[in-house]
Amino acid sequence: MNKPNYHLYFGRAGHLKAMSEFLLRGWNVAVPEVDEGDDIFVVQHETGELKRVQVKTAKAKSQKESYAAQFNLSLKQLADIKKGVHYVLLVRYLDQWSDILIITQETLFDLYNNHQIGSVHKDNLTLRLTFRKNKVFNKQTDFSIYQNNFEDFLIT
Amino acid sequence: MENLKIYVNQSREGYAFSLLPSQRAIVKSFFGEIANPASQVMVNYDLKSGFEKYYSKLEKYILPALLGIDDEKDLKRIQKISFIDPFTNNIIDTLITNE
Repeated sequence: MNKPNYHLYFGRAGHLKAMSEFLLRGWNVAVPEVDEGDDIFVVQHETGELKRVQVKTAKAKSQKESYAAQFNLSLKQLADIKKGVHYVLLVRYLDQWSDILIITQETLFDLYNNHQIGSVHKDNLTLRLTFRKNKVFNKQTDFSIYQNNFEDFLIT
Repeated sequence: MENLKIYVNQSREGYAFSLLPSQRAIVKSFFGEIANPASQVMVNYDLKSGFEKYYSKLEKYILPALLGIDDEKDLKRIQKISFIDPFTNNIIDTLITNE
């Protein structure tokens, strides 16, 4: 689509998609008034438990027998591990929401430090995920376990 | 265990000492059931400065809380602990447990 600032609409669509997934699982959602790096807050009403979520949305491109999506993450935000953010990586492929990966900030930071995932340019980490036969990879690192990984959001 | 890495973030309130998942797995693997590592321990500035004024450097004393190990003999099995700034990857401080 050639609409000016379409990327803003696309990103917002991703936020709303992520919010709907949390709502479906019984978590209330809120958008902070001031953008300090957290896209949405999700809160469990009964216990008051609050989690911070950063949503990243990418449009995937077809490859041979696979498709790939690229996410840009701020290294400064990623390194601020005290925040305990959950990253939600949403993939749009062939006009559908095809994949959702949920990974904690500390895990992603750990993978960046110890497995050299992604590539760094200035202050950003570019994470290219390849989806092939129900598996997800970045270079040699398997991200498949993070697909639909709502284990931190289960309500018992 | 040769070297344990602990990441240190600062916030408005104080310091957060974090143990990443891979390090927690190493601690668990090395110590077995006696260890119960946490992902993060936070200490506010007042507590840290007050403690260090009357005792000594705080870093050594947050280890039991962070690693879930309270026996000093067990802690000394970790030869070196590096406290790292996650933004720069620079080592802020090093603790040699046998000193």
